Amino acid sequence: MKLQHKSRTLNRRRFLAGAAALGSTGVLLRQVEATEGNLSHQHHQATARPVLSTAPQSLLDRIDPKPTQPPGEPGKDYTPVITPNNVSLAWKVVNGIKVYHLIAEEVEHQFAPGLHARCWGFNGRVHGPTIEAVEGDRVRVYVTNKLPGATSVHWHGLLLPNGMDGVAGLTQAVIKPGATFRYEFTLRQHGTFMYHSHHDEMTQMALGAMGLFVIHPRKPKAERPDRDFAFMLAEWRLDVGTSRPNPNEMTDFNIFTFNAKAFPATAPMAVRLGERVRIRLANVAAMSHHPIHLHGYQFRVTETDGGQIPLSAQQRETSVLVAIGQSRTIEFVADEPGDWAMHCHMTHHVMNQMGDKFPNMIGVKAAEVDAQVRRLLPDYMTMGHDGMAEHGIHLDTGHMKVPENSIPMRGGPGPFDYITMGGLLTVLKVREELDDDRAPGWYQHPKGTVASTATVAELQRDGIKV
Amino acid sequence: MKCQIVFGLVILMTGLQGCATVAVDPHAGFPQVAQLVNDRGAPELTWTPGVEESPPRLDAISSRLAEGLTEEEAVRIALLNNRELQALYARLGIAHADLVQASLLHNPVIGVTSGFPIAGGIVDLGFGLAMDLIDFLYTPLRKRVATARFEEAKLRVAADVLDAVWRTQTAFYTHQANEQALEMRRQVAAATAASFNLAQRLREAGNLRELDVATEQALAEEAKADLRFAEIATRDSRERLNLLMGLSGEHALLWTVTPARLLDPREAATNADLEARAMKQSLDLAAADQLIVAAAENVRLDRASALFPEVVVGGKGERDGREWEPGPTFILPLPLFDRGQARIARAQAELRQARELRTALAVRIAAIARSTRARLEGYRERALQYRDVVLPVRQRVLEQTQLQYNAMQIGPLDLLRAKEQQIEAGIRYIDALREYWLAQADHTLLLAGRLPPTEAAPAAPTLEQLPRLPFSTLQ
Ligand SMILES: [Cu+2]
Repeated sequence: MKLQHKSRTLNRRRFLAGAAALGSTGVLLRQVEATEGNLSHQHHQATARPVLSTAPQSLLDRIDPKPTQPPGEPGKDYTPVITPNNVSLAWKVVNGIKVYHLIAEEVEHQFAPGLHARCWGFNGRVHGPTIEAVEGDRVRVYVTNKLPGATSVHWHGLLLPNGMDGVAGLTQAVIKPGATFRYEFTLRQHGTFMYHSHHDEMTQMALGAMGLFVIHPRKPKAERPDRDFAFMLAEWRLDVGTSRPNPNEMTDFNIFTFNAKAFPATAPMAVRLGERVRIRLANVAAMSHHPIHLHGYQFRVTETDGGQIPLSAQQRETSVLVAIGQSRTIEFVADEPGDWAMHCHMTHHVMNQMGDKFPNMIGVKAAEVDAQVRRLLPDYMTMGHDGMAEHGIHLDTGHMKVPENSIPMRGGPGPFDYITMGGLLTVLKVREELDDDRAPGWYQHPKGTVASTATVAELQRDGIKV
Repeated sequence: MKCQIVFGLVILMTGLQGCATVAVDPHAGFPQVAQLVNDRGAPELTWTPGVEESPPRLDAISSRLAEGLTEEEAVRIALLNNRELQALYARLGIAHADLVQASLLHNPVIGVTSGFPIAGGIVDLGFGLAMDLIDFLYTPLRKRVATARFEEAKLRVAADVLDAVWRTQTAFYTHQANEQALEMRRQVAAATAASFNLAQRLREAGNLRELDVATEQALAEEAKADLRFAEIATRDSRERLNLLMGLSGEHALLWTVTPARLLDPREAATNADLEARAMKQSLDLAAADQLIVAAAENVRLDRASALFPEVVVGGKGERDGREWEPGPTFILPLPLFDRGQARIARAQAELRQARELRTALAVRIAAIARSTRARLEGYRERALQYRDVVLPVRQRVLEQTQLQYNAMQIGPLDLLRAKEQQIEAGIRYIDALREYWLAQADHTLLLAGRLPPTEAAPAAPTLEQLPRLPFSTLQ
C-alpha cells in the first residue's frame, strides 16, 4: 500500500532525527547491544517463573533478583508513554535504583467542564500519575498516606516478592494516615499494569485511588511504537448535584472515564499519518467490563497483562473487551487520516449522568398536558418524547437549568452537529501534518467525502422514492 | 276627721312615690353599654328602637362590600345590621322596666260593700281604703336590688356585644382560611389531574403500566373529593358570616374577603400582664359583683320584711242604717308560723353562691388568660415557622425537583408530586395562620374583658345557673 510505504519512510526519518538529538547514534547503539545478552536472559528468568531452573540461584535472588542493568532511560531505552489527561510520575536514580514517591490524598478533580468532585488520588491527580519504568529496573516507591483513613498500594499484575504485594492485612500492615511505606522490587516483566489501593478497596478505588504502571521492554522484539498511549478505564457514581463519588453504589454507575475524564473532556490522541500507534487499556472499574471499539481501523491485540501475545495469535479486531482487572494493548499503523472515535460499545457507557429514574417518554403526545402543567409549573416542558438527543443541546445553550455541578446527558459540540455521546469516548486524530505542541482541530474532509443530504437529482438518478 | 287622716296619708305617699319613681325610658342603659364596648375596642354601636322593621342603611356599606371585606368591616356591619344583636338591646328595656316596677308602690286598695235588708229599708253601704304601709319602707330596698340587676343587665349586654364582635371575627378568619384552602385544593386537584392526564398519555404510548395509571387516577379522584369538602366548608363559613352580618339577598352574594393578613413578626401579639388586665377589664366579674350586691340587698330586704311582709293601714266608712261610722283599719300578719326564716336562708344561700361563683370566675379568667397567651404564642411560632421556614424550604424543594427533572434524573410525575406537596404545605400554613388569628381574637376578647365563649373554655357557665339572669341566645 502506498500509505504504508510512506509511513515507513516517515518512521525511519523521525527515528534518526530523534536519535541524533539524543547524542551520538553510535554510542547509543553500542550500549543497547552490550546489555542485550543480559537483558534477554534476565527477561527469560523473570517472566518464566518456574522454580526448576538449571542455573544455581539463591532463594532470595529468586524472590527478589538484583538488577543487572542500569536504570532504563526514556528516549534511549523506550519511547515514553503518553497518558492523555495525565502525566508520568517523576523519578530519580539513587544508587542505581529508580526512586518514586506516591502521595495518596484527597483531590479536587474535574471529570469534565461543569462536573468536579472531591476524589481520592495520588500526587494531586486522579487517577495517580503513571509509573513508568523499564524491565530490569529496580524500583523503590515511597507511599505517603495523606488520606483520612489507612491505605495500602497493590501493584496489580506485577511479579514481585509476596511482601511487596500491598494487600493490607494479608501481606503488610496498613499505612496509617500520616505514615510513609517503602516498596522496593525489581521489575521482571514488561507490559501494562496498574497500582491501586488494596485497603477498603471498594471505597478507595470508587473514589479514584489508582493509577497505571507501564513497564517497557528492555529490548523489544517488536518494532517500537511512535505513539504509545495509555488509558485507565473507570466508572463512578456521582448523583446529579453532588460533588463526591458515592462508593456505596453497586450497579448504577453514571460517569465512565478514560483516565478519569468523561467526554468531551477526554484529550484526543493526536497521531501523524503512518505512525505506529500503541494504545494500552487497563480496566479497574468497579462492576463493568468495557468493549472498547476503535473506528476506522483494524488493530492487533498485542499484549495482555499476562505478557506479549505471540504474533501468530494476535487477532485482528475492531473492538477489544477489557474486563475488570485486565489490561489489553492494541497496535496499528495510523494509515487513514481523520477524526476517529474510540469508545466503549456499551451505549450507556457513552452517556454522562444518565438518570435511570426518568420514565420512558418515547412517543408520548403531551402537547395539551404541557399547557395544563405550565399553569402550575411555568418552567415545565415534556422531554424525551422523541429521544434524548436534544437534551444536551438544551443544556449547552442554557435553555434549561440543571442542578449545579452536573452534566446530565451532556455531550459536546462537534464540527457538524452536537455530539450526543459522553463518558467513554475519545478521538484518534490522524493528520498528515501535526504540531506536536497543539491538539489538531476538527478534520477537514476532502471534498465529496462527507455524507450529506442527497440531492433530488441523485435520488432521481438512482430511482429512490422518498 | 279620721277619714281625712287616711286620705291625707294616701296623698302624702303618692307625693313621696312621685319623688321615688323611675321614669320609663326606651333608651335606658344603651348609652352606657355603647360606652362600655367602645372603651373596650369595639366600634360605635347604633340602635334606633322603634324602627327595627325598616331596612338598615346597607347602601352605604354595599359599595364597600364589593371592594373586599376586611375583618374590621365585617365587625362594623355585624354591629350595625345583626338583628339578633339589635334584639339584644331590648333586654336593657326589660331590665329597666323591672327597675321602674321596683320603684312603684303597690296601689292602695279601695273596697265597697253594700247590704240590702230583705225587710226593706235603707241600703247598707260600706267602703274601705287600704294600702300597704310597709311597702313604703321596702321600696328603696327593692329599688336597690333592681338597680343592681339593671347594672348587671347592662354589663351582660355589653358582654354579648363583645361576643358578637368575637364571633364575627372568628367567622371571618375561618372563612378567609377556608377560601384560601379551597383555592389551594383546586390547585392540588389541577396537579393530580395533570398527573393523571400525563400518565394516560404515557400509557397510550405504551410506556406505562395500567397499575400506574390507576394509581394516578386514584390520587386525582381523591383530590376532587377533597375539593368538594373544601367547597362545602367554604359555603358554610360564608353563610355563617352572612348570618352574623345580617346580610341576605343580593347583599349576601356581593362580598369577597381580602386575603389573609400576613404575620408581622414585630407584632408583639401577647400582653405581658394579660392575666391582670383580663381581670381588671372583666365584664363577667363586674356582673358577678352586681349579682353579689343584688343578693346582699335581697338579704337585707328579706330580713327587714321577715316578720311583717305587709302592714296594711286604711280607713273605712260604714253606713249602718242612716249612720255613717268611719274608722281606721289596720292589718298585720301574725308571725306565728312563718317568721321569714326560709326566705332569709334562701337569700343568704344565694349571696354565698354569688360570692363563690365570683371567686371561681376569677380563677377561671386567670387560667384562661394564661392558656390563651400560651396558645397565641404557640400558634404564632407555628405560623411563623411555616411562613419563614417551611414554605421557603418547600419552594426550594420544588425548584430543585424542577432542576432534577430538567436533568432527566426524575420524571414529570415526580415533579408534579413535588408541586402537590408544596401546595399541601401551603394549606397547612393557612391552617396555622387561621389558628393564630383565632387565638388572637380570643386574646383581644380577654383584654376587652370577656371570656372567649368557646367550647373548650365555656364562659362562666355556672353563672348561667343563677335564676333571674337571662342570657343571650345569640349563638
Ligand atoms: Cu463500557
